[in-house]
Amino acid sequence: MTRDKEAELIAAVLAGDPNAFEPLVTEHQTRIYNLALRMTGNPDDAFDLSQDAFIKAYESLKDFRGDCAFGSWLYRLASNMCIDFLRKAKKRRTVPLTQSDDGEGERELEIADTRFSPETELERSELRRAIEAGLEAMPPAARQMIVMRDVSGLSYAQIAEILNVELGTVKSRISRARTRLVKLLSGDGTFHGSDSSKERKEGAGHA
Amino acid sequence: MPDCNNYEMLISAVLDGEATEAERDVLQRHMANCASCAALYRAYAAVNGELKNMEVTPPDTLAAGVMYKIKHTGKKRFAVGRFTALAAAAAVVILVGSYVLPGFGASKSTDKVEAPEMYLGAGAEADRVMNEPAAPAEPPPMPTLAPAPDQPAAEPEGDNSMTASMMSEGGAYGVSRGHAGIVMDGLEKTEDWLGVYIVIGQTPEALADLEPLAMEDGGARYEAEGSVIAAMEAEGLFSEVIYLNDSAEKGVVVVYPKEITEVEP
Repeated sequence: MTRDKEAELIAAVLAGDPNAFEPLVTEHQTRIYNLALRMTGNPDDAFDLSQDAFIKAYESLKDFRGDCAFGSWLYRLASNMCIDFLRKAKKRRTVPLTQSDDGEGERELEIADTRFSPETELERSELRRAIEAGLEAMPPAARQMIVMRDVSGLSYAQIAEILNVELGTVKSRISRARTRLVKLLSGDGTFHGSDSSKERKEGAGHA
Repeated sequence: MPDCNNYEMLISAVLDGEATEAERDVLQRHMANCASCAALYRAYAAVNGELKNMEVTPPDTLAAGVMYKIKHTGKKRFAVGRFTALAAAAAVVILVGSYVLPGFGASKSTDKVEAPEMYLGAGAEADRVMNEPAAPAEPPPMPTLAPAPDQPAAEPEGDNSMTASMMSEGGAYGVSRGHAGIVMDGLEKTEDWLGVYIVIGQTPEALADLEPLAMEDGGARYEAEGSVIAAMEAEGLFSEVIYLNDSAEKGVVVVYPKEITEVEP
């Protein structure tokens, strides 16, 4: 949707035509829903939160000044609602990320293992489940970085705009969040291979 | 590798296409000699790649629900507690009853009234359904259909039992702002419709090929033939039924994707 079209629709809504809001909803609903889904971790909350975000956007549309894309403004609104939601929810449960219960300690996801690439369906769905669990185990601010970059596909500049921070801050927050996630997925928190067995595997032969 | 922490940010930037040519070269050269960073790069790539594939399409009801809510902001501000909502809805149901009555009394014979199978328009099935012991999902038909002018006492009793049954269902099926809203909207068409039937959960097979009439309050509204409704009722699909008119061919089925148990303040 072009900025012109956007502006046209917004003007129509403000002039009293609620139906003009619908194309704005359908345009952005996938992005907003997935933001909410990966932040809250469950579809019901994501559904409610997404609807609430759109409704709030509608109700405060007169405050939108058009100095950024509507989508960015909406995304920021929704993202803040997600953070608030998580703060209120308050619970941070520890989610088991590995199958170490069945004594398969070594067969943790081994993301760090150079041989790992999810080729089979089973590996892929294991990876997905682990990623979902990993996201939920992260604090909201870190989770938000992964979601904005890898789920919503926002550029560093867009993220900087939405969060109202410097580009450099975005870069460092993203890499820290990713490292955190990868460590969670590796299970043992010593990703950088101070674990001797991993170091040996990745050792001399690789260049 | 003491300075690998410095490379984390670079790895991220390169993966995200946010690094310069020069920066990419620096990283390439580093990774050629640092298996740990190379592994981190691959790990980031695997996770990022998977996250991109995890996109979910939101349900149709999301947009529909938003549009309904923004167009009906007045109606959604009902009373707060569940029982207050129930009472409000019961009042609406009574209101609907008295609205229907004049038309009903004028054109229907008492015989028809006493043959409850007519409500569903499908004989044997209807008999079975009507004779079954009241299952939680099927509250008794609206008392106003056992009509009025000569039995004034019946109505208030009936109303109490209706309210009572709705309240005893309590729990997830409490009639909330949404349901009452639909009944209100349906007032114009009571003469055309058999009743309003509420389904909570998945859209039933029988409705799969139908186009919803409208989306209201997060629910999809379908017009369905009496026989289709009877079949669905026999399967116990309805969490709630509000009968309006025993002689109509069609009814309105409203499907909510999830339970509406709370009224927004």
